[in-house]
Amino acid sequence: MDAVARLAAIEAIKIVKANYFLGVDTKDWDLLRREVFCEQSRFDLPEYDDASFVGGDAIVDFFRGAMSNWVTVHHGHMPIIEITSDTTATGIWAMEDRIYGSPGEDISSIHGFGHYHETYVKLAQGWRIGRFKLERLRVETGRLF
Amino acid sequence: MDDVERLTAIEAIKQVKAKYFWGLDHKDWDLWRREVWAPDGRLEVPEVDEVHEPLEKVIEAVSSQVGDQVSVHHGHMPIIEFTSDTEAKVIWAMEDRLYRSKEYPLHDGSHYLHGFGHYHETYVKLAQGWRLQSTRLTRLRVEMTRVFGHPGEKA
Amino acid sequence: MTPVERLVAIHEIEQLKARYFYFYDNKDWDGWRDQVWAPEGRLIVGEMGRDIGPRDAMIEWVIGQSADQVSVHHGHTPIIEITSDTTATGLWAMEDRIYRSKEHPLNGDTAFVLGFGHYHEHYVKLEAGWRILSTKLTRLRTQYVKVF
Repeated sequence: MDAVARLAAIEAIKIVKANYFLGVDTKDWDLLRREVFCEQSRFDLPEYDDASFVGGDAIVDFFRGAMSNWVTVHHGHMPIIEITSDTTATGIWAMEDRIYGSPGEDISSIHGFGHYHETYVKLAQGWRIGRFKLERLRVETGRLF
Repeated sequence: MDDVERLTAIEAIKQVKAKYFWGLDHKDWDLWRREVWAPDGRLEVPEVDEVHEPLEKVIEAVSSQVGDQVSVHHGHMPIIEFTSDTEAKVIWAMEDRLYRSKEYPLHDGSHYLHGFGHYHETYVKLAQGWRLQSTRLTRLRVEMTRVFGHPGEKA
Repeated sequence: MTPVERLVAIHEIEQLKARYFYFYDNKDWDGWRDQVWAPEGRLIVGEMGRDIGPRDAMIEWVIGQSADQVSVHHGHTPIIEITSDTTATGLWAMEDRIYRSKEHPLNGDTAFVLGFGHYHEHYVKLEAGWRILSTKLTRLRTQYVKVF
């Protein structure tokens, strides 16, 4: 892959992840389905009972079910992106999230820090997130009742 | 440097800083040696009046001070200026959080630091790639929290 | 526009926004005026019901508002689209913190603001380089802390 194609691929992947954060926080589930995930996507969430969600639809369904009544803020930082072939790449993103729920829920608030470890695939429609896993440095959860 | 070389260098510098943060937050000093710092690198932290160089002295100072802390360092929106084909100056906005146990308080006895500021840095292009040559941290604001009365102790 | 020109433009716009934050948080109003904004620039802050421009009038308002505050503004994961050789749009996730002295509270009584949201921006390429034409701040959440 030549230098320009590599740089363009890195930029495209940054936009995919930017759309991930935007879709999650503005609850734009169609955006996530259309521009971020694909059939091969898979989300591993160790802190949630070691859950795995396979396929873009399953991931979006999980987000929608978990987050519909929350205000969420997800920020990504300092990506380390490596283009491993014309159609594959890996990335590590530092992240911080804040979840604001309501009193009486199991979790009323989350403030967390960690890293997404991800792979990307290039399909006909462009780059998409393949497998991604959230590992934590620290999480503070609150319960208000 | 043509545009492609410059864009490639910019991405490389961003990834060096990303590895700086990963290394620091995971206490991975070998990563620092291998992929982040120039061997004669310099670290300046004016708020505690400290300057350390070269790299081995930086690692000695940092690793001996971190204790068992959990740390989160984030860098944002770098302003990058190339002073030559092999040197760059960069300013990063930053935010850090240091969580300390009661056995390893910070230098002033605090147990939690939350700070905001800017890294002012220089990078050099060596044979192995771009590396961090110097970094100086200035602050907009720092909040230090001291706790009396940890579980199991008298306040 | 070639792929390389597009990547260069994206990088320059990222630098532009980085300077927006750096000059603002360091109260370098000359830098903010000369290196960040187009002369017709407008600042739209929905939560304050404000749409202020052009640039010079807007900067006077901002300076008046800022007093002796300490502010921290961070922007994340920009989605920048180059729409022509001289125009572009940008969408930035953001977080800001405003710390006010007791002599100069915000809105009469606020000591601290913690906010999360997005900047929706338009850029224009002038002779001096890319500049912000307009920026609109929308919020996911804002917390106001009043101390008395």
